Amino acid sequence: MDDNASARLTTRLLSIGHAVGLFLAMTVICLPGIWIILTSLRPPVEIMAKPPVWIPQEMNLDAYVAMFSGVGKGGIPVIEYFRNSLIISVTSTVIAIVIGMAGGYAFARFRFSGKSGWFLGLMLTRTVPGIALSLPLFFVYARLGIIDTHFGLILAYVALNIPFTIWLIDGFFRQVPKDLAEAAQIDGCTRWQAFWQVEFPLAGPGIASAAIFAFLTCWNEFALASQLTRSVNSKTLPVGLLDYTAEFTIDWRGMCALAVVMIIPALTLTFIVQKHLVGGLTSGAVKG
Amino acid sequence: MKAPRLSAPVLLLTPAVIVLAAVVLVPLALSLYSSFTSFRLTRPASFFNVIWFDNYLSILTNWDFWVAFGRTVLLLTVALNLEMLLGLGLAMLVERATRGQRVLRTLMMFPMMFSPILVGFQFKFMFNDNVGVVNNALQSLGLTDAAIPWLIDGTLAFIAISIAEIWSSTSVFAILILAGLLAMPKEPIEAARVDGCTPWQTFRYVTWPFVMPFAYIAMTIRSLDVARAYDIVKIMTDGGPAGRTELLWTLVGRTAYGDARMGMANAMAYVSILLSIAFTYYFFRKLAAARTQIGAEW
Amino acid sequence: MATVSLTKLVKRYGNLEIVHGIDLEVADREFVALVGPSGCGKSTTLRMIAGLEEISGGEIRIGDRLVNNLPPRSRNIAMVFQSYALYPHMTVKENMGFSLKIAGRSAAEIEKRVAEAAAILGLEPLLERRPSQLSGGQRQRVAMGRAIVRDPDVFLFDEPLSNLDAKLRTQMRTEIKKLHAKVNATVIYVTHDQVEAMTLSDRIVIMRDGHIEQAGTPDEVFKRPATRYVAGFIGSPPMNLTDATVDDGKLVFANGSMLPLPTQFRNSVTAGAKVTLGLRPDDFYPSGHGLHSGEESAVHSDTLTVSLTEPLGNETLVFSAFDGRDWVGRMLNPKRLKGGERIRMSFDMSQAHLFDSATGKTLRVE
Repeated sequence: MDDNASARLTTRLLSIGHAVGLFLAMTVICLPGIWIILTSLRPPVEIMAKPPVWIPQEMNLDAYVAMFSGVGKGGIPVIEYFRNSLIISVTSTVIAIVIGMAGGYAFARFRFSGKSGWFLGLMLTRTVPGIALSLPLFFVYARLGIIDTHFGLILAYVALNIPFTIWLIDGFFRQVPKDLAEAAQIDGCTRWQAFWQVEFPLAGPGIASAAIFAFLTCWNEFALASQLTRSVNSKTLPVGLLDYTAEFTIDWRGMCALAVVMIIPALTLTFIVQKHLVGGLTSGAVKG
Repeated sequence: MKAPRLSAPVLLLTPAVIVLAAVVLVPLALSLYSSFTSFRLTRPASFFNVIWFDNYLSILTNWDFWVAFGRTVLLLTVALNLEMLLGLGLAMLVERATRGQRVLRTLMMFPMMFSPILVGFQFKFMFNDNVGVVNNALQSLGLTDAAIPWLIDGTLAFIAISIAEIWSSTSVFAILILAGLLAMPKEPIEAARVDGCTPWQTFRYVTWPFVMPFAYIAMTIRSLDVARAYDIVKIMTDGGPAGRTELLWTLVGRTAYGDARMGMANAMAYVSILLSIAFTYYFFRKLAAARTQIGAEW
Repeated sequence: MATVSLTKLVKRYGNLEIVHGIDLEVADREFVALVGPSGCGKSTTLRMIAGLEEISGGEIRIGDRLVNNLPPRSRNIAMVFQSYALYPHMTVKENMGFSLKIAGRSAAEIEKRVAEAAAILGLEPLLERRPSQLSGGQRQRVAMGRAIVRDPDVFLFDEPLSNLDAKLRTQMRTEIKKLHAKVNATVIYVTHDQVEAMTLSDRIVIMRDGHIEQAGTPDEVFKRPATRYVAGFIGSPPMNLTDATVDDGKLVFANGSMLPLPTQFRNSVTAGAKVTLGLRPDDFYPSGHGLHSGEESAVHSDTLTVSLTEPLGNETLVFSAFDGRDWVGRMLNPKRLKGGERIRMSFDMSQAHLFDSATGKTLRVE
């Protein structure tokens, strides 16, 4: 009886410990985000107050109003930045997905010599640190006159996204049984028809999530963008964040407001793809 | 009939190879060349002044460079290992949760959508010695009176940067390891329990071997873009003050764009590229080995 | 409908040859089963006929047409896969009508032909469902429906029943047989299960290591196996096979036991020949409890020790030691036996088979 009682107590304690641990972990994960939102809504006086004000006394949307009110009135050209970010991210994502689909399909469905070598080689191009790549790219782009253009950044982002897109899409095509494409060919499809009628629709959700992942990479990229853009012509939101920093001071409230604007699209998209994303990355782990 | 089968994958891979060659390989070749010159942005003619290995020699003898190099390796080692451990812990906490698993999993992904530069600003703000929430909290709780100079003291700044880095990337590990835990068949665990394994033994001999490839996938993905840490450091301290948090990447950026010494910066950049490749290659091999170990084909 | 003929068909992957130049003629409306252990090349052969694998050498003709280099869609064939390969994103109806849609047939015609096929297979209530909502047997039926709708020259089946449980497999086997009678098509059916091959086909082709061991009717391959391999492969429980040496009208075994040389082989072997004796369990039985299909004079009997029995109700398998090895025999009208019991066993030598030990080929002269 005693043994049973103590075993029950241990179980009890463990489950309480588990709940506490989970709560703490989630707090640490969420706190920074919540803090940013909170700060963007509070007046600067309260943010800078010493001793600190913990309970917000006053909340307003002034920071957002100021941000959108345009240059010269305390705002930054956020609309332009947003537009640049959107154009660059969407265009480069579409191109990267088309190229990645071709490459991923090649890895998933064909045998060719040096296959794993090619795969590793493609992945390795992704490891080049953005800052290291920005040096020669800056030089080449300056020569070609495509610094501070959408085209320049789109091209760089396509290259940045291809390796990872291939990895993901390869995984998604592997999840579609080979039999299905064969059955379609016997049913009278050409290889091309079999791809579009059967394999593509089935890998579709996975490809969509690879697209969103690529989009997020572009949307969040800073190292290359900071060197290859100059003005409102092509500056993206991450680079725009720097507009809130002056020599010695930082407009924390305005920056937090812009951060919220940046996160919202990313947040929405990530939630949509979370399930498929993991599937594509891990499909090679247990089943070749 | 032979020809089309050979050319199909070649054809499919051609666009990818062309783009990567144009945007990555050719520029890298260029930068390799310029790393052998005394090229300065301000003096274009110096692009053709080949000095062979002088840049590399002066890097090798440059103490600041080696300090930055060592700090980078230290940051990567500390961060990647802690991320894996914390990710494993987080994944197991979530896996045990009986209710609200979907919500928890979604929350767990939260940091992934933050741009690294945003993470940098966010933690720069939180660790601000004057108005940051960390110091405010410590002072309000009466743990300290002084304003702790988080981003000014070298060691503290390293810790602050590591925390930011770990916060932003632990979820990559947690998500993938959780995927592994969820994909794991339950019978072996039950068999181990019946066989008299303690929870620790069960984990060590049954769970971990199964989950390991997933952890290596996460490692490989992370090592593909370890240099994302540049964005965080760039914002939080920019290598300063006085080089006390200098990493390889910030040093490259400063040498190139601050001092305009492109040739030298390219030489440093090559060292950083080799470092990244070494990390990726290492984990890629590990991943392949772990895959064969559990009998999967690549 | 059409004939299928394979001539010197070869498949190589790099330097590795999987199929070594096989020849096979399948008649119009014939049901041929390709059977053999995994890795024997039977599936590869089927996939070459389908056009899913390239041919490294030889010829394939469907009807009079050489199809060596034609893509699958131009061969007018239908195939049922082991995994069924139903399109998960389409309903049963769309799955079945897919080939007609690709061929550009009118909606009305597709509707009509799908309905016909569904009627044959009893799929009407399932037409709007998706594959994920079907049971294994139902999926199997849809896969067959998809093949029927195409009205192809040749049906190809690649181990279609191996994913079903035993009971369902027997049931579907009957359905396939009925279906063949109804649609009257040329069928090539790959399986590793000899019972399926025996029950379904007009002709069985036994393959091993990329070549054909024997092709013949179920009766032929059972009664007159061309090789020792076929003898051991066909029949359950398998034939008892033991090496022996011919000596003056006798077969002498390794441990010195002896059996009379079957009279039907008396002229085809000489003294000193190394042979393998094959005797089916049906022809090795406790005296008074067997089939007695041969003449009484050819029956040899000997007292052996029972090592194990497996009662199956209507019959019992008896394992008894002969020349140091357990031979399996079939006892009809069974009586109770215990392990260790001494018992009189009959060897019906008129039904025995002899194979050349070196080549494995039968020594029977027709």
